Amino acid sequence: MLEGIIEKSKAYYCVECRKCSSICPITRIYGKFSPASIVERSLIGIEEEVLNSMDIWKCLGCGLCEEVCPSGVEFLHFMREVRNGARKQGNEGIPTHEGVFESIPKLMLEKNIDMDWLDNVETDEKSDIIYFAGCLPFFDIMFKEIGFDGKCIAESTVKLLNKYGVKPSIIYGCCGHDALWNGNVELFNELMNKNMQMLKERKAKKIIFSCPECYRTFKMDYPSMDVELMHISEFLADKDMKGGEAGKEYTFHDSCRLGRHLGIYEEPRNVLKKVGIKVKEMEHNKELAVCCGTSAWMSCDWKSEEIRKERLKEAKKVADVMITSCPKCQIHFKCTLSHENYGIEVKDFVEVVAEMIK
Amino acid sequence: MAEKLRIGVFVCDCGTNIAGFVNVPEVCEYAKTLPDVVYVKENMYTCSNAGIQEIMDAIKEYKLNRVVVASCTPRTHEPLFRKACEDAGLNKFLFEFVNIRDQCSWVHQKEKEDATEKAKDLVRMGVAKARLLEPLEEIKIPVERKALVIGGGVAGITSALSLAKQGFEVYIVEKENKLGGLLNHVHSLYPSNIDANEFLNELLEKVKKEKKIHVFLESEVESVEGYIGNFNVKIKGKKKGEIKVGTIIVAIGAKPYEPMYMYNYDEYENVITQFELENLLKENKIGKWKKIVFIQCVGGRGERVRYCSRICCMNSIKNARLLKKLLPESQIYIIHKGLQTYGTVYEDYCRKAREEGIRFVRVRDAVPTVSSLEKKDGKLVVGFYHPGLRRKIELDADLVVLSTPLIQREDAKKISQMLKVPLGQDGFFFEAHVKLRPVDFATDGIYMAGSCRAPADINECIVQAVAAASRAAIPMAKGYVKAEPYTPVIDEEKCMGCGVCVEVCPYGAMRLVEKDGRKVAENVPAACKGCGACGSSCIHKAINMRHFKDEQIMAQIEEAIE
Amino acid sequence: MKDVLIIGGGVAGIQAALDLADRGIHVYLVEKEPSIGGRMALLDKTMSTNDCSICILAPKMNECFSHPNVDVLEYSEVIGLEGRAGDFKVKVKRKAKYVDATKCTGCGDCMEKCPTEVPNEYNSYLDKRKAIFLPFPQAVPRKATIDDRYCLKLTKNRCGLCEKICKAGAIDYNQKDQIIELNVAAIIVAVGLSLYEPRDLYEYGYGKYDNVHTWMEYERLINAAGPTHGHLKCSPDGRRPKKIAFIQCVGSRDVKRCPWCSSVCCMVSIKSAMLANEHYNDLESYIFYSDLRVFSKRFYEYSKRGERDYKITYIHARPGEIKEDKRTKNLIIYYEDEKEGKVKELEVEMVILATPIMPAKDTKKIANVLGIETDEHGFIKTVDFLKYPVETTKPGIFVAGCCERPKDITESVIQASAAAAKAAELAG
Repeated sequence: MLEGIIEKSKAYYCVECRKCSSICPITRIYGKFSPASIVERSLIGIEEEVLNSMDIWKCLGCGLCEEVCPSGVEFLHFMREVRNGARKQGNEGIPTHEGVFESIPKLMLEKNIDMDWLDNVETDEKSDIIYFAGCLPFFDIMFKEIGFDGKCIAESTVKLLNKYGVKPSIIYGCCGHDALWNGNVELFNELMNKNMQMLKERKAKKIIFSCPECYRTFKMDYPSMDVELMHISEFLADKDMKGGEAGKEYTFHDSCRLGRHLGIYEEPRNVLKKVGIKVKEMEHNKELAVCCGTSAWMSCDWKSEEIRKERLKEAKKVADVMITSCPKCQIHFKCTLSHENYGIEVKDFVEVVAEMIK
Repeated sequence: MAEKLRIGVFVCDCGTNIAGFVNVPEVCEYAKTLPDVVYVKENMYTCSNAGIQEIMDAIKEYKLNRVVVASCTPRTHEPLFRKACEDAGLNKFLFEFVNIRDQCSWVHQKEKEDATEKAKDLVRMGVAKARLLEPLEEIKIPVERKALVIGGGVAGITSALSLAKQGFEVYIVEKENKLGGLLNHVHSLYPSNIDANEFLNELLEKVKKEKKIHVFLESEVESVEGYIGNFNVKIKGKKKGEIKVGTIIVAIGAKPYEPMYMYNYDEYENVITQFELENLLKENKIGKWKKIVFIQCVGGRGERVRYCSRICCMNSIKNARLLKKLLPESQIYIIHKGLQTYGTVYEDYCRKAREEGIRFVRVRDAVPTVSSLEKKDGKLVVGFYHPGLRRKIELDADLVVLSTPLIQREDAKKISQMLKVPLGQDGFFFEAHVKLRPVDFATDGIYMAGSCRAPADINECIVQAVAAASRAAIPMAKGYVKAEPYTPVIDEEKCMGCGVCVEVCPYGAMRLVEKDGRKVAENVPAACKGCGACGSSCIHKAINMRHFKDEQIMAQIEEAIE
Repeated sequence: MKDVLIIGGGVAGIQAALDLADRGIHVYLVEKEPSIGGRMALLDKTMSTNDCSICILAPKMNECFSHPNVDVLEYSEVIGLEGRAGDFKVKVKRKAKYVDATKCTGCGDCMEKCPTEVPNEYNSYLDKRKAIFLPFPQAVPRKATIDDRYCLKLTKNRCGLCEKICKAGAIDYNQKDQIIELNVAAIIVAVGLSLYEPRDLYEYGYGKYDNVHTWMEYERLINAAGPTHGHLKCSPDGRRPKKIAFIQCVGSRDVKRCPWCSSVCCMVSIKSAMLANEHYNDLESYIFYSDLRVFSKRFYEYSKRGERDYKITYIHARPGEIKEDKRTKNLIIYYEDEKEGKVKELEVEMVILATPIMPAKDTKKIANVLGIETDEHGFIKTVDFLKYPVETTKPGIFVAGCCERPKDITESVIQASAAAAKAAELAG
């Protein structure tokens, strides 16, 4: 089984230099988890140890390892495939929130979510420009108590689109990202097929995302479609806009998916600059930005918390507000902030832009 | 000496190498006070074009008849300064070198004042010797335009072909009954994976067509006498002969180390050496092995020999790839202590191997490479400590291939003695200068190429062989060489004919001859390297070295202890 | 007997020139810089023997320059080629130096007085040189050159100080580039190398942290003729380091950058660590490697000697990140310690990055002019790696040194001699 995975992910190129492990945020604080060791075990053929290990669920998929790997090993691909293999053997990891985020996608498979959720925005059900709002309505309900406002993200996005003459049609639904990253390929495929079908029905020409995970999944994991895909920051990048006085210091937290996975670093920064916010960079930024500590609702524990705290401290050193484009990053940081005060606010990219734009 | 002495002293800053630790202006001032010194000059770099020009100008302007340069080392710079003297019309042996860098500023970096004092002492000693220097003439020795190549492997053949193409007659002496050396026992060659036989045959065809190449098979060099340009070579064996050559290229190759009593090599059938694997591949005797483990550095890197044998990593990768192609279902591991796939081509080659499914396992750079190789239930099991996983790993194997280093051949010692050329600690031939004269011996007219110099692969053997041909061609193309005239003067009155000097001469330049009914020592100037071994060992003080005469050296010593 | 052209006056070009000249073949040695010597002239010591690099090279440079059979054409470029093996016609552009070489004595007065300071490429840009300059003190020929990109007189028609200062009257602002034509039987390409600039390896902070340097910068820093006169100094207070780390394969063996192994860097770092320890004998070094490449004659033994006698610790790891202590400017290296199985931090005062050898900047251009091929990495291609290791893809044109692939001085010299023999076959 591992042979095939090694082949597909080019893990055979590994030269055992262990650079991946030394930059991995998990290995930094928990040495027993080491991407290099997982690859080395696989290469030497100790298959059972790899597939039965709980370690494989600790990976954040943040891609720092891949970013610095000199040999071109696609560790993220490797990890997803390994998780798929492990799942088949009954090793399913420990999901967070009692696994509720595993049932929501299943729910969404059953039912289309048609709702008129947003206020004060213009939409057009017939438009071939789609705003894929993802799971925001669910997150909005689940994480209200820690101050997460999913509705605001969706509203801000559509407002910005409206400002530049776009009345999108909105789709709420699960892109399948988490299922895919947790090795549940079967579920992912079902979600993907459903989404593709829906897009076909709506004759979509362009899909705009505010969530980096949805964007990444559509762009990199779905078969290529004849549809233009873009992140809201890319949509805004070439627009003329004016802003006001920032009043506070802002920093930008590159989410792993938008940053390292998709290589979008400058667009959000440029947009923010246009509306009057000069981003103060944290010590780890852009290619080397550190993850929010949890991914795909899997293995959230003291290590995740530790990583978040460090990240918040880093942000506080340079700013009062940390902007991120990923709803999950925001949720995770706000979770930590809900029981420990770091004197820093966390806001979504579109939220800030919508506030500042004139 | 009728002529009045006029000595010029040039003191070099060597940038900050000297001036950083020695007060050079003070040394210059001091030099001016020494007897017969009429001109003193400080240079930032005496060896620069400007510095050289200054020496030449000063010789003419101040009519200098002795020149002293206080700077670095004669090892690298003496020829340059001598040439400056010569170009300015001064006999170049009227030049004296004082080393105030390697032997002064560099070793006294923390004692600047003492360093300055020592520099003065050294300059005073140099001037004292300069006063007693005598003009000498170099000897021009004609060079035979023929070459001897010892060893008919790929390096020897390639050297011979290159020399022949450049127009010289070449004699190859090969011990075996055919040319090709180790190539005869190898299946294929990396990185192009071509058939070794085809490759060799192509070379042999060229040799056959080349009329200037004369091959002595099943023969050995019995003795070599003489010196650059004029070596008299006796060949024994199947084809005997006496030839006279101008230059010699040593290309006797190396042989693979036999790992007796290591890893049960002598006991287990399926534990073989890389070399044996080459033969199996050659004879198409491939088993249905499912799991194959290559173990690198068996006997190398500190185990039986100290050095890294350079070519074994690539060779294992080549054979692993070959086996993988022949046995696609097989699992192949290479256990190594740090892969040596240097450069562009080899690193690419190694990446290809990884793509094809060859697995590499790195272990610590310790001896032995693997901790155990045993038979369990009739199966070979290789056990080793995996440094990344921090525990012992065991791999089953149907075949274990031991990569052993190349080691020097037995006849290297004999040849070393016969040609009076040195072997290094590792047993390989020792070059004149590691960086700048890598295929020359210190002895003029003798060169080396291939694995007798250090383990080398085919590409490297060929480059070295052509390089050695280039070096050997220089004196042969010129037709003559110049020898330094530091030869001994023998006082036949004092000589007792004891023969100690003949014994100690490393170049065979001393011999005993009958004169007036008794034996006296005689020097062969062309063979003499002026090392002075004869002079210092003569208990009767019958030998005085030109340019290093007793009175010259005594004058220096007297100044030193003044 | 016909002439031979050698392009590139580094150690390979010099060796090839001397081999040919000594046997009586006339050689043109074209060098793009104002001095021959190439990369080796800028190194401090050479590895495995720790010889002073310029000290062993300078005699060869001088021998070459003053050899009756060698015409050194410095500050020149080959711009055109016609003909075939045995009868090439070559066009060479001799760039204007604005200094009459027959008059210049190399006294250096002009350089002292010149008011225009420019980045000094010969010291890895660590300090400044003047617009009228010698590349380095031992330059051959020791003749000044005016850099027309910077000279005030040539760019803005101001200043003119050097002309006033020069006692020899050697300054000639009106000098023009000259095109000369040569007829040669064979050509040896030995155009050398360039080095990778590790600015895109953000994790190591080169260009951002003061105390992170490349190995070539280190060569100049530890060199007595370099910008710090051989003293290692750390930012911010100029203290000398007590701990130095060397990181191997920074840009090399890297599929996103230079996929090849640069061959020399492991040994260079060991040497550099030894030199540092020779300078300051309490100094400790750490070499982070992935495979220590010590394959040549006596290299492995050398690496062991470093460990035994020079306080070198070898650590198998490519560090993931370097952080800077903002106050002390010390560097904290994050690496996975495989003995303990966890990420550790090592604080040092200086980090040296072993960046790889790449093809020289103009390799492609020269290859195009000559009509020879380069390989997929941009190095000059040999027609058959095994059988014809010094022959380029065009008969009569041979290759030596690092422009063919990364190699050390010894191997460059060997290949140069081999190329000389091949050229002699055609010219002799």
